[in-house]
Amino acid sequence: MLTLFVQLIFDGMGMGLIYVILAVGLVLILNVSKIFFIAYGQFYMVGAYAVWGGSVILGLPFIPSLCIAVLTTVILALMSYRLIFHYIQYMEKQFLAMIVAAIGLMMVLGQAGLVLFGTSPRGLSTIFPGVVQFAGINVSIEKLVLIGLALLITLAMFFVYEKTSIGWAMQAVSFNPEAASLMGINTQRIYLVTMGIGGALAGFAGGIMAPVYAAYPEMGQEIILSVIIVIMLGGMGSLVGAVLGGIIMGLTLSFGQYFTGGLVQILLFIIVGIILLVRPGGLLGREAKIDL
Amino acid sequence: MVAKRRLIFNNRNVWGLKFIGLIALIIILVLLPLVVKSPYHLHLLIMVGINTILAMSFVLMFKTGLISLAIAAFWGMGAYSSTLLVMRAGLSFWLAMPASAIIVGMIAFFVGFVVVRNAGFGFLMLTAVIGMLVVTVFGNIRWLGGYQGIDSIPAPDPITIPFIGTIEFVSKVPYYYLILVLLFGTTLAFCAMYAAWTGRAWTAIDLKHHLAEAVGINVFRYRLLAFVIAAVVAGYTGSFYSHYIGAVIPGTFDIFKTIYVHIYAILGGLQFAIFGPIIGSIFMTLIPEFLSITQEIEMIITGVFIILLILLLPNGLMSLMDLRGKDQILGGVLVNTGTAIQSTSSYLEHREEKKVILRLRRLSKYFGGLVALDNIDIDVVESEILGVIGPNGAGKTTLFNVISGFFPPNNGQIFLDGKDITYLKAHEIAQLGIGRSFQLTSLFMSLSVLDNVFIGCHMNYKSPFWKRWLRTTSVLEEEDSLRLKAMEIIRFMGLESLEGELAKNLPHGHQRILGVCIALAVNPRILLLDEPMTGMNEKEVETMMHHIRRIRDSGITIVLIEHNIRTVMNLCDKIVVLNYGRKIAEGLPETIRKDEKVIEAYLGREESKRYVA
Repeated sequence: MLTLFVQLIFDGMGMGLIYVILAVGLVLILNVSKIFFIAYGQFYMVGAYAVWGGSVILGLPFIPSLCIAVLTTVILALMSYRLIFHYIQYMEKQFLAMIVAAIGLMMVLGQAGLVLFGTSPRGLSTIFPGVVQFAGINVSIEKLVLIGLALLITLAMFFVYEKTSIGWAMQAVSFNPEAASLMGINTQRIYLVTMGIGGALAGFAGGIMAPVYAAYPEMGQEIILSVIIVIMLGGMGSLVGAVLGGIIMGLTLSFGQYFTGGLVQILLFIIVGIILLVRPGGLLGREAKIDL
Repeated sequence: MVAKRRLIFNNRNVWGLKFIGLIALIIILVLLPLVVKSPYHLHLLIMVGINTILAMSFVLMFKTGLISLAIAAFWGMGAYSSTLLVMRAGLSFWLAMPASAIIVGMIAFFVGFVVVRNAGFGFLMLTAVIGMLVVTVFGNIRWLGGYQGIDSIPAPDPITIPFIGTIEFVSKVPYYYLILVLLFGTTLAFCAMYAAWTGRAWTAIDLKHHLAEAVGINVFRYRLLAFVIAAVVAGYTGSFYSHYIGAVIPGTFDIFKTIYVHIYAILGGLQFAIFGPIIGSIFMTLIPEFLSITQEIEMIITGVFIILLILLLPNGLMSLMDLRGKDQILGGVLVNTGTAIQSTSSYLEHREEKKVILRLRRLSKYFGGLVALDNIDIDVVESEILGVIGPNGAGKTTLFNVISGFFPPNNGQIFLDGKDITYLKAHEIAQLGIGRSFQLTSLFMSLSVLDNVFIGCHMNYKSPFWKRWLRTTSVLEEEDSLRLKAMEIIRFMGLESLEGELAKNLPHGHQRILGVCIALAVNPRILLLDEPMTGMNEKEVETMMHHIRRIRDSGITIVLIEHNIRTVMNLCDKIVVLNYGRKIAEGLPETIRKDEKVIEAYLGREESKRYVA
């Protein structure tokens, strides 16, 4: 029983931390740049495909292909900001316009994945084979590496956001861009940096997921809904909330899947609905105010 | 001047041109199946119809300032309930369609009762949960066919219509005419609602929901109404869809469908409640047809189109053919107080006897540990001007917010004419006759001066609501008389030369006066004015003081927050001084001027000693 319990916790943590990374990235973009970036899942997909391309087509080891993945998504994110969202930032009703543009981007990237790579999943051979045995519990090294890397990047993100001057600038812009720009912060650059960091996080998450599961065209669309639920659960605009929400989500899914099967999603939605009714801003969030 | 007034008054006349265009459009649409023969193209037209109706219901929600992600969910509920009613209960389609609309409307009422309380992002997220939940629920219920759904749903029964004959649903043409009828019906209903008081209330809620509450609009009720109507519309559209396609699959009703519906509406242009969705969905359905390439490439090109459109035409395709002129900007016209007095109207009746009209007893309000109001007792005597002064942070605005029902107090009671109104909502208090203006200029900026005040007259209707939607002659007369009343208020306050001007184009002083006009429109017995003279020059302050006196003389009690001591001393019959949430003095202006505590509160202890000495 205990074995099963620990096993489920590890499974849940593995998936949960992927949610955490994506949720943190999306919350950053939502908070600082005020873009409801629904195309974010497609960046995750791009990351996964880039790792697959790096290691299968180019024959590179895992870490260089992960770097390629991160680089690709960062460039893509910066381009999409500079070429699209930059121009929408100053429109009336810009929040809605941003959602629409993001949906357009989502369609383009998602379908491009489908056209370039086809519908069949592209898997990688396991990079870290083997299983660690500890007190009768089997955990694959791959999953351990995934959890370790994910934890590392989340902590690094928190360090940047809380302890560095660029992080403070991001926080200032997220509270009040006008006041921040009067204090000498180049808001345009902060928006770009935020998009870059967001893109990097998505590429990283996709990259470390690729060896464990596989890259397939719908992965972006599938995960974005879960990530949005995670953000709602944890609280809009709260990074800690995103972490909490991601872990809760991962654990609920792994335990729920085991014990209740297909009903787990209904359960999840009901839980989220109740939490949102009691605390409309999510578990840790302040109620987000966005001018529609 | 006269011509302009006619235009504002008789927007019925504008209907002439639109009417001809509409008739032409209807004839074209009715005759279209004679030209379009291929079933595939008819299918596209039918889908355009469905998408248009859904997009219209999205715009309806959007008009109340809410973005709903549950439209496809209600659409799906309509499809499923109609399917079940026909296949399991054996009902005829013609009964099942309205029945399913009613079922969906009832579900939306109960869901909305909880969901609509969360405005803004909370609402967006909760409806997103509903949108995702519905697919999962449908997919997991076995007797609904699981994720495979239900197929071989029967076509609608043949129906006999007088003069036309029996219609059998074998080809696409009858379906086309059915969706056309649904589209026209929905359009007419929406037009009626937008043109009537509901449309104005929704606009008011969208533009400034706290101001809407202050003029007596029940924000929750009107948002719930929009939510339920949008769901009902989606419900019968879903019923039509299920019988037209002949199958329901849960995946059809997922949140991405809602998002596409949003795109139709946004690309068409959100400020065009009817034609925006039509143009948007025609465009979005037809692009792939003209491109005629493989589906993957088509999606990519559609995506690029969406991005380009939002970049190049942020206000939607309809903005290309927007015939309405740009905002006209009139030069600043000074208010001539001399002539304004001449036109004093008699709509405000005089009240003679003096008595306490508003009584505050031991009123307290805390924000966390901060005491904003501490055991305040104030009596407001009828037909006098009561000034509330005090240093910054003394709790003056909080006092107003508590009286007008925006914050409930933690303790104490408020009586209006002996009736306890302590825990009433803001709109109820407005309906009881307490009007208020706001410290920060709060107007419906994108509306004209007349419309601003007209919305303020919201709750003065007497005719029943269904008559108001039908816009019978008596209702139109009533509206004209309400407009006249609004004009009288505007004239009373000396803004008559600006009545057609947009509120955002007014100079600051006139905007403040307009704020008072809106508060007057609710037929107040008490008027709470929160720093009506901020940011005004001396001349404007003079004008405002003059207006305030005249309002008082017409029998309305005034409570006034003001910073400028000289103004207060000049204007007020009685003064209350607050400091740190406590009432530290009360009395006639002369006594307040000499009160040591007051001087201390304003100048600090040391300074005050010197001053008094």
